Amino acid sequence: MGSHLLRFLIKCKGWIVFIVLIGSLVGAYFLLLNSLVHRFIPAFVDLMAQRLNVNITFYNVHYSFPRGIILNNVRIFDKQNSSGPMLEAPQLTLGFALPLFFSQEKIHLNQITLEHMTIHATALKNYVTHDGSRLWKEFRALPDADIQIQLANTQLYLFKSDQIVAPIVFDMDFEVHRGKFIGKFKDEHAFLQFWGSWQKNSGLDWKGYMFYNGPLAPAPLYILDINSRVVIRNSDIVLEKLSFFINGDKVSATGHCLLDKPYQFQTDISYNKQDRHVTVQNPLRNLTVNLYGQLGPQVVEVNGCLSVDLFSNLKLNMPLQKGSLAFRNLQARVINDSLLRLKAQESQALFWAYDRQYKVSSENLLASIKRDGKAKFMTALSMQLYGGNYRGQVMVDTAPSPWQVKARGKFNQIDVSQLSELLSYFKKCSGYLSGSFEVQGPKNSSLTGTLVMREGNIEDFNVLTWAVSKIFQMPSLDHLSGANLFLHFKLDPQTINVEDLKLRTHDLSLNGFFRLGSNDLIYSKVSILFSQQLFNESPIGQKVVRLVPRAWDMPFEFRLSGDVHRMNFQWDDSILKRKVEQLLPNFIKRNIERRVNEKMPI
Amino acid sequence: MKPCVIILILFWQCCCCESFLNAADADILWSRAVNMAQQGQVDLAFINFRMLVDSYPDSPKSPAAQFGLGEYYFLQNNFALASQEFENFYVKYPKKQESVIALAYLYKIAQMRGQKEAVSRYQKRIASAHPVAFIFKDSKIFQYSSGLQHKYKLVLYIDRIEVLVDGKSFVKISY
Repeated sequence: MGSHLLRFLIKCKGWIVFIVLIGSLVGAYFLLLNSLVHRFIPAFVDLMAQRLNVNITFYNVHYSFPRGIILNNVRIFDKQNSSGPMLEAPQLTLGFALPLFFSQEKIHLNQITLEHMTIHATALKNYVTHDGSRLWKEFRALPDADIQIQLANTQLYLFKSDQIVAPIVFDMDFEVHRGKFIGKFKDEHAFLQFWGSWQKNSGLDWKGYMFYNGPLAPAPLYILDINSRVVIRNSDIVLEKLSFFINGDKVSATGHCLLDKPYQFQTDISYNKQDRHVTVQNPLRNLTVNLYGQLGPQVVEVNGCLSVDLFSNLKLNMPLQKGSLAFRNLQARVINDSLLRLKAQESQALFWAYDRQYKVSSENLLASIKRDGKAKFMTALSMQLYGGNYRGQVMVDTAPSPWQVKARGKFNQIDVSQLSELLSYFKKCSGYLSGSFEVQGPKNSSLTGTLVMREGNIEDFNVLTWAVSKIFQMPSLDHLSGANLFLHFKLDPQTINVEDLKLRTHDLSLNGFFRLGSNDLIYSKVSILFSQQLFNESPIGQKVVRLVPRAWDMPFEFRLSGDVHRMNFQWDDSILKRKVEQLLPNFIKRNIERRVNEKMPI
Repeated sequence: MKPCVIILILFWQCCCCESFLNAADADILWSRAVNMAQQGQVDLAFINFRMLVDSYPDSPKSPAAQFGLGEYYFLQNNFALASQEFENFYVKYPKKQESVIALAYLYKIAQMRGQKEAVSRYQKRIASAHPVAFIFKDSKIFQYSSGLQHKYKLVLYIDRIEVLVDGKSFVKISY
């Protein structure tokens, strides 16, 4: 047996020698490779850390066939922020082409794999904010080479890890080959596939599609036909075009962003819904956003305008037709995943309802928007407007369709003369308004509240003072000065109700209420005390005084009803009326009745 | 000369006679219609009203005949045609007091048919039709007898009207 083996070995000695030689050669190369890896990789990592202004640590590095160079426990820290790593991965694998290594003794990376990497977005965002331009420069300096990047089970923490917020866990594959790339991104709620081409001097063209079904959207989103062109230069990025369809509705955008501090940007976005998708439950027709501003370390400062066009139907309680909001020096600061703070130096809201335009301007707006559960947002709001101030709360419930909004607030010392751009009622008035209100809509929309005016000047303010002036032929009632006014109001799409109306001037004391319907039908009850001077100004008053001395000490009670442009009038029972009736014979009463009716309508 | 004058006089008399005869025809139709109505033969009364309105639209009896047409259709539960006739009446004679009764009919028909928009429209028209002022009175009454011999009482208040037909409440409209 032993001699057979010996004879076999002597016969095959050439092969054995060959195998041993090859094995030794390969072993030597692997030893060399590992030696190179142990010397080269730490130096390479140090160089990268220096160029990117970060600290990179890893536990060890070795070569493993056929995977490649493996670094264990890699962590990348922002040098300027010692709170924790930006990125950390238990294992980073760098694949390279062995034949090229053997032939050229160079390592050409062709694959990067990270498993179970953790990204801390807050730290990463801070780093990009102060060193983003450096990072961009290094990225631009990379050679045009084919590479594949794989991220598996990556955890992204959007907020500081001391807040208990579940991370986003995703997988990503990305491959570049001769200037063309393809990639996909997948997490629990979203899937994105994209492809395109990248030319260093001309830009990035990419297309793709995406599905999302998660907590950020009330319904599944299908984002299709993504088509984009981005031009990347040394100092800026230009989004020449971006268009896609989101559930069949088109979105377009363009933009521009500087890559040096301050990171200034500008963007225009439009969203157009197909007519068949516009319903009462989902009334948004189109949305346009124009923004320009800059990104800071903790805050975004922006100026711009947001416009919406809505489906409007008065029968279905949807009076709002369109609106726009323009703002200047708006600062947005994300505090955590459920709290956003806003501050705006100036804002102007324009909205159209019932075919009329209304404008609300404000300064020094402060708002805290808190997410309450999945679908509700609470906003505490304060602002200066029309010379006074407003403080209140707004709650938006995004669960129903359309969204339901409730707001309440108090306003103080509003300059009435500035209110004409909002409500034509105040066109010829002056004074200061205070009060409170509650509003909700669009379902069961209503606006209720109280209004107080002190020492104001009122002209053509409401139908009552106008009617009183006409009935009693007292032209001085057309202009009321030094007026104190108090009322409760309730408005809904069908009616305007004014209750507990109290108007006091030097010459007049008026109490009453009125209700005005959407078809211009009014019902009103009024009690008025006139001064002696006003009584004497009126031909009717003069006649009454001749019958009843000191008639001005007794209130005039009357009612108005019917079409607001052709009202019916009734003198209600009162002490004054009874006295007049007792003194007048019937034929004179009939005569008065006839002559007054000849002068109708009011 | 004399023959010419005689011919001219005779021609002028013929013209007068024709208009006299036309007025007489309209009166005859009206009397016939009223007689038929008094005998309970409303269909024949309707025919006479129709002939009067179509042939003699300028007759003083034409408004009452037009009203009678609407009344007839309403009594026959033909609300579409009743609406049409009462609309025609209101358009032609808006200043007449009985136009408020016509509007009350239109309001009632719209209410019976569940036409909320029409109800609101007629409510507003009624409210603005004849604005009134009550100084010492609380109401104003207007009475009307129709061609079909129904007695209407229209009571106007500050915030509503009531229409009674033959003593019974027909409709109350508030505003």
